[in-house]
Amino acid sequence: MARQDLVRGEFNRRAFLGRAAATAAAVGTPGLLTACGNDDDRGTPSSGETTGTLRVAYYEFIDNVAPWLDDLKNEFEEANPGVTVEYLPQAADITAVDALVRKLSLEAREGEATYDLLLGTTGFVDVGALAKAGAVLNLDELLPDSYLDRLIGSAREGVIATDGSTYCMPFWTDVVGLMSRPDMLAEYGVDAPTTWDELPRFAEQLAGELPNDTYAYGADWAFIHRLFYPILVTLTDEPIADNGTINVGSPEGLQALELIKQVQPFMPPNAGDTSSRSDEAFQAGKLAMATYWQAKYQRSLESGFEEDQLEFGPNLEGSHPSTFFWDVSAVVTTHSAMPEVAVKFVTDGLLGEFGMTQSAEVSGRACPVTDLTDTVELPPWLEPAYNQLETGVMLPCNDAFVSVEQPTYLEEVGRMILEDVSPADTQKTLADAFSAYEY
Amino acid sequence: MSLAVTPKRLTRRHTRDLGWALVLVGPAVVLAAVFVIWPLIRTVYLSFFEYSFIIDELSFAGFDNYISWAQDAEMWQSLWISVQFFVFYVPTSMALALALAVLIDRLARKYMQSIYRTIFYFPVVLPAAIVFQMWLWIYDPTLGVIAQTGQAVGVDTSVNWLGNPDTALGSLALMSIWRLMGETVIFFLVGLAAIPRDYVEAGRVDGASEWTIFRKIIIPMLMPIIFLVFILRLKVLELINEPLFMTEGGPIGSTTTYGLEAYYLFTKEDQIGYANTWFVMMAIIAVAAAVFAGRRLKSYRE
Repeated sequence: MARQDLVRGEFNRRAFLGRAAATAAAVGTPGLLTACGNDDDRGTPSSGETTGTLRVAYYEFIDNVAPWLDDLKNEFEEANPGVTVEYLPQAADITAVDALVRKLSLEAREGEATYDLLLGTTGFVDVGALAKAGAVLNLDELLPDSYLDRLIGSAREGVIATDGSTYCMPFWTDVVGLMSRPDMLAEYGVDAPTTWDELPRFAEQLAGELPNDTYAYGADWAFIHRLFYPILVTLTDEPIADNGTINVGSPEGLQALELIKQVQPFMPPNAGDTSSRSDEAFQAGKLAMATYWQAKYQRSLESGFEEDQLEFGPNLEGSHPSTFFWDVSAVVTTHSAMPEVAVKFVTDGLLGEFGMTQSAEVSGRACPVTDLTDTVELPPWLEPAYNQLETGVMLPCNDAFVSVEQPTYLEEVGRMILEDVSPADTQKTLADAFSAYEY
Repeated sequence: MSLAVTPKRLTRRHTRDLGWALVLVGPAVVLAAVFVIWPLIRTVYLSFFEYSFIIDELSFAGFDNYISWAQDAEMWQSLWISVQFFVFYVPTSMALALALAVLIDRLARKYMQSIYRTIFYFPVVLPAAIVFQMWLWIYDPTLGVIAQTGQAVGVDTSVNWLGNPDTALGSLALMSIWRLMGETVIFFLVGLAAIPRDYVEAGRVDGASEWTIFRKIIIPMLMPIIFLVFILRLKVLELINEPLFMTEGGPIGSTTTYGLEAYYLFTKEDQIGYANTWFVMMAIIAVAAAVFAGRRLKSYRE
């Protein structure tokens, strides 16, 4: 009866309702079945597997700078029969620490692991927070002595967490230095400074010559580890306080704050934004000098500059030469099914001959190992940065940076610059906040 | 055959139709229950507890969270920032949108109305991330459109719009006005289309000026739409995306809105229960504002 009504073109409420319900069920049922489906047929992972699929996740920036990862995967699989490497690029970047800690903490609590290995972590940014939350594996029993012995001393010390254990495996380093435009400096008859004391004078001299939309010096002054700490480590041998925070309350800390306030007027107006605006200005040819790490220099090369237009030199000196560097490392998830293989991917894969060569030549990163130059010929511009690793200083592997140091520094140094608060008052506020930190 | 329907047949048919209706609206009800009602209940429930996701411990706090909320200086500061944003954004966007809608409505050719409607609605359909990135470049004091235009005409416009605490919030509001004004224009165009032309013509015949017609006829008849837009715009009190993406609440907290502060409590400080208190109180504030506006509208119409 209903079908005949529809054929005759007459609207029949019963027929319509029936067909609408059938359509809704037809559309909804596949979706419901898909949602109920489980495509993870791994079952309960057992620890210590040496064959199977190694799931390697990495931050977005790794994807951008290491196009050779697929080749590394093939090489590793060939050297380790029975192991298949599956890459899982992560959409999030390294600043999404909170989300990462929540995710891995929940997985650890549930006895699960979406991936075995995560590449791109940094000791003082996310590793400290992850270790504190129990979200990553303690590697003390897993790291071979051969790997530990290879690490450059300062890099080895920097990955030991506050509890004395190691939770990450460094495979790259980023070293802070001074990027400059020798062609621009020569055009205006100004030399690049070699010390922090010289910087304000050079910047002022150059600023007087430059066009209105071009600036003498730049740095991410709003980040404690991108300008303040690189200054501090050249002024004192004790840049870290007893509680594991940056020694901002020292006389040298005040000196560093005063210097920042002195040079900030010569920077691009938005240098204090949290998005490397000085780097953008440098790549656009609007900046003569900038304090950045070597990867930013490589980005500038890729943006179209010729090699003779750019220079990457060591960090400016204070009372002694030094620099700040940090590791780019890997962590193993708490319930990884293949922790030994995950470690091997770093020690033999990323730090094997192929990995080290590609890191230096393509990614612009030096591996923090003592035998690097025995195996790899570093690009000329990268060699000074690598040589500074022995005298360089890291930040401790704890969660002070994300929980106290950076948020407080951003606020208070922002006030120092934007509201003209004195460096002494800023130092006092920072020191009070930092001294209250406990791991 | 008799056309009379007996009560017994009507009840059976009615029951069958009711059953089909329930089947058809059932999925929507289930979705609303799972994604709206249950989270709402859970939010209110957790607001009476102290809970940290990392530690995974739930302890009853009673009204302590609400007392802390009322005494929290950062709450009042962020609420004030949200109110400032609202006061700048809502009247400005509504006034501009109304002016545009009136102008578009006056266009003689219908196809021109369609063209302008499309032009002004285009920013609304752009993905938010693209809009934010675009305006970050516009506002860039060295490389941005404003700075480069100023350079070209010899005017120094290297103002750090988003990096100056005096201009950051207004800059975000300006971007939001550009982004969402098209939506408001559409609302007003619908309202204008519903106004009987006879009223306007009668006003003109009586010698009233266009401004008088606008004030005495168009505005009163648009009041329900104006009220609707106002209610919809109350959402900006919980503004998160713009300050999160473009300024991260800076510089020095000048764009840390109420919603962003609550978001940070939830994500960065892991104070889940307390953050839920913030969300509950924001809902109460928004409802109170809506009720107040409704009463004003009612008294205006009376």
